[in-house]
Amino acid sequence: MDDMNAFERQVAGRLQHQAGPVGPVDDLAVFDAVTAANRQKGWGFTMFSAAKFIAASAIVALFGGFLLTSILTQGEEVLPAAATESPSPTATEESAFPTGTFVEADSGYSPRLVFRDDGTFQRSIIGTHSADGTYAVDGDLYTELTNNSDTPGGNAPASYRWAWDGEQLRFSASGVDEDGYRRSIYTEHVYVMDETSDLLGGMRRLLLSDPRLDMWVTVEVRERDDGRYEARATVDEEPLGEGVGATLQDAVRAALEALGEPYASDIAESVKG
Amino acid sequence: MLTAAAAGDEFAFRRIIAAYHDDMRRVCRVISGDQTIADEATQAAWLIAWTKIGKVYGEEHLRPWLVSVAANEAKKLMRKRRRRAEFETVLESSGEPGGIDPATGVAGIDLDAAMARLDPDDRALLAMRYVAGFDSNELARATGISPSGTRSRIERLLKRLREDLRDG
Repeated sequence: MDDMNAFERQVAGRLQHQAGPVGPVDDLAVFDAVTAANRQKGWGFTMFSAAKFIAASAIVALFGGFLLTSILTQGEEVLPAAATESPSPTATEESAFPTGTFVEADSGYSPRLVFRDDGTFQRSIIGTHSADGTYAVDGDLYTELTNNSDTPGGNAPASYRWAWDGEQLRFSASGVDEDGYRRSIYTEHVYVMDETSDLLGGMRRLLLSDPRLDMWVTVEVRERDDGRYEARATVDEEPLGEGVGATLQDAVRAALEALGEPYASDIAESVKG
Repeated sequence: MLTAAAAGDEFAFRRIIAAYHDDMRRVCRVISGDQTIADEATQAAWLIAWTKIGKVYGEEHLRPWLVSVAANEAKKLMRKRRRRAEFETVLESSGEPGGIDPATGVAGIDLDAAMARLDPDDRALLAMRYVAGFDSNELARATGISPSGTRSRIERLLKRLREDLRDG
């Protein structure tokens, strides 16, 4: 252990050296560069300027009436049925709500939404927020049914209209969501599928856990040509195990064997499809 | 400070810059091995922060969020510029005298080379831990892994480095 502690200290020392010296920060120069770059992005003024406020107000004024009408016509139902009014432009009867991992189109990594076939989801903003829960889709209406969010008002169900054109996934408001954080994640971003993490070559990537375990397990599963399933499990990108089975659950259970029972079986049984 | 900055208080935002800029820049330097990329990534991160700081949920999330944004910008720049080969060259040429640590028997220059072979995500994790001094909770917020997961991942990284040096 002493040897490892000494090694850890050496690693820390080398990293400190690589990082370079700690120096004074000219916060004004950094700030000026940021605001200048922000102006070049097209607004022509800083984000908190009065002009932007006026522009934002005009947008709200234009669409506010539409949103208010939508809310008022929603009636008392918490989870309205597939709406006939104002359908999303690209959500058609033929289109299916997409599952997989989606990331914000601009940043390419965050916020991040994961929708699974088993009706569970995960939404996260890297470093700041994460929530898991269940969802349902009825027509062009997406509803968060449950979640474990700790944000104010965040545990109540909330519905959004969705539109997926095969490349971009968008959500728009449908009713009131008291959780401003969730509202922001759904309505202020456009999402694209994270091609690196899902459904590659017929492979499904599942993010699984058990409430008794303080960890997430990533399991990649695919159906082989012989009709059997094979699964490969990793924890924090480190291999955990592999397995083959007649059913998806059998394969996942075998891949999770290293976790022991009842975890392997309980997690495997939670996998649907 | 966070609330004020999110409300548009420019002085509050500048105080945040003064407090965290160095952490961000130094972590990016370790990830990329390139001072130019580190500076550009940090500047890009501040631009993102300027427009999105209002979405940070709680003061305790601020530093992990800023550093993770900067780290991601560094990785994006690295991908764009395909600097991996250059990265290794830079590290080798910029290393301090790679003397052997008597406590470990490992030469510093060999350790630098082993760390250069790590994935950028792994270097980011080590940099956040040992350069920015993140604790497990901050690492968890920055990476999306559980606190215990970050601890075990760092242990595995150290073990892998040790084995790499032994095998090498």
